[in-house]
Amino acid sequence: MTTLLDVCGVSKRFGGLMALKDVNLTVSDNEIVGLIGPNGAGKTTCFNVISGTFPPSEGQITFDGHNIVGMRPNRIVRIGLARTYQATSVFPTATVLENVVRGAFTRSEDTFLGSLLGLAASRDADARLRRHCMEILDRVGIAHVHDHLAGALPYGFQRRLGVAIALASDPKVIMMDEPAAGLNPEESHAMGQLIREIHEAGGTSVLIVEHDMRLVMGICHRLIVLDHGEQIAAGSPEEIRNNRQVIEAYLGTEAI
Amino acid sequence: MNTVDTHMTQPTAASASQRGFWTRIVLVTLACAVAYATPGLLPNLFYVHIANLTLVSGIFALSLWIIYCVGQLSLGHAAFAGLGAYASALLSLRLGVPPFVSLLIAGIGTATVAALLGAVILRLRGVYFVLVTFLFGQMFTLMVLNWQSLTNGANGLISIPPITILGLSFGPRPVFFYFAFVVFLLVLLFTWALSRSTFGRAFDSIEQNIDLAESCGIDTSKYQIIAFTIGSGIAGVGGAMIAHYIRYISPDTFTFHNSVAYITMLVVGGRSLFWGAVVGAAFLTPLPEFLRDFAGLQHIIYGAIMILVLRLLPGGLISLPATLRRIGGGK
Ligand SMILES: Nc1ncnc2c1ncn2[C@@H]1O[C@H](COP(=O)(O)OP(=O)(O)O)[C@@H](O)[C@H]1O
Ligand SMILES: [Mg+2]
Repeated sequence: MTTLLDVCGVSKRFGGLMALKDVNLTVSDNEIVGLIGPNGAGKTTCFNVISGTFPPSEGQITFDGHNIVGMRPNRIVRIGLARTYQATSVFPTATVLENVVRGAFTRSEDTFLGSLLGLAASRDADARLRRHCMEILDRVGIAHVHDHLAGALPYGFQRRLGVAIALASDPKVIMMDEPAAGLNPEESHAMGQLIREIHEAGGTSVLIVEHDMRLVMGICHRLIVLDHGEQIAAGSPEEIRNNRQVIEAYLGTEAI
Repeated sequence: MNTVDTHMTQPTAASASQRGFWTRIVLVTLACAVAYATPGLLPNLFYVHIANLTLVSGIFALSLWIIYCVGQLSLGHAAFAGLGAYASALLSLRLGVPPFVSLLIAGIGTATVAALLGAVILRLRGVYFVLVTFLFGQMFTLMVLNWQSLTNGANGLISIPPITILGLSFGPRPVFFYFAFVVFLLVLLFTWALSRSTFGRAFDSIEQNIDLAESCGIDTSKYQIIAFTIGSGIAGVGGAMIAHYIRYISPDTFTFHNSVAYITMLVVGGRSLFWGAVVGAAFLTPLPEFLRDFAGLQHIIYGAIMILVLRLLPGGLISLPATLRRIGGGK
């Protein structure tokens, strides 16, 4: 197993608030890693720092041999690190298929001049891309609504579309911020299935933030627990489940 | 740029796009035929003049639309038009550059200024961007007023030579009409093609959800600068056309009020499609000319029309047929 994502000693300050304190985490190829912790623990901030939304105050982040600190988000996506958002995030007035095509923007063989002049080669490239994106929609199970406007989709489908958009960039690692938030237990279970399929079929590694413990414990190989920006535990789901500190800070006393 | 979506949803759209190609050829030919006859059919030169101004307004509105496509509203659009106008006028007056060549240089020069400015200010979004473009417009006016040695200050530049190509002068109003029409048509076709290109896809992604666009690997800064550069460059060409047509420009030719007028055209016409810009320009340009008696009221009338349209037709005049159909259908 080679390490793809390596977050080393990362801290993030917002004014007086230490949102992240000396966080270390790695994601290797073919791995599903969970990042858990109570609300406000700094999980989304961690994603934002990794994906380049804002720089860390301290620390190093490398991805697939690149130092990605200070790199613009679009470049980080292009070297194979994609993300989804905690809130649903789609292009509301574009069709579902067009949303995914945009996710594959940098994978397109289409050229600006070709598309400007409407050349046959450009149309072919676009048709190929659309077919490829239809397959992705098929994988996430919303191909039947490909011509609907994304903004008009039911919530559960929008969450799946978010995953499809991220998948379209053909990432090596995909970071998912609470993919099952707001889903009912069945939908949540199906989302877990989907993540496992993505991982198994494509060999894509996943770094997932999620509160649904059944989902997290079911699919993750390793877990990292944050509380108040600090890493309080790391290990296998089994170890985390029995970790006293984690139970106190997050899981509660009830058995899971 | 919803055109991107409706087009080629099915991968089997090859024959449809063939048909679309011929439809467009026929449309362009038809437009040319109508345009050819237009100057002769208009009752007098005053109407030809209004037609000319409308075509140039169409160019301004379309170019502003390109910037609007990345979700940015420029209140300095007239300043870029003015920049092009002064550049082209001065090149031809002071350096003797032939007016058609000067027009092209002015367009490229304006685009360059826009690219440099855009690289700095396009980080701002929403009202902050609007404010900075407003300030840029004010700075332009002040500079033109005060740089007397170059711009002749408030007196403006007179006796600007008309555009001449291969010995044919486009000075007379009916002849300029053809020049304006050809440039307008080129800008229209270019804007249409741009909206369906890979750039158009990037622009619309940025407009709808800039963070997600960045997460799709789209370099949002780069594409915003591209849109701003293309739009402002075209405005520069439009401004230069005015300079060589009216043959007189002053700091009053391109002011904040003009920038507002272009925005009004977009809103009134319909912001979602590039046709909206054309409809808006065609509707609003002749208006002040026919309302000469109410000169002071022009801005009020513009404002009133804008509010009315926003209240009654949020999609702009271009959505009128669909709205009527909906009302008619009782849905
Ligand atoms: N852009 C920001 N500016 C200031 N404070 C922020 C910002 N983003 C997050 N925070 C703060 O950082 C802390 C961690 O937030 P977040 O990462 O969203 O937590 P989580 O995703 O684990 O629920 C919170 O106290 C939040 O208010
Ligand atoms: Mg969060």
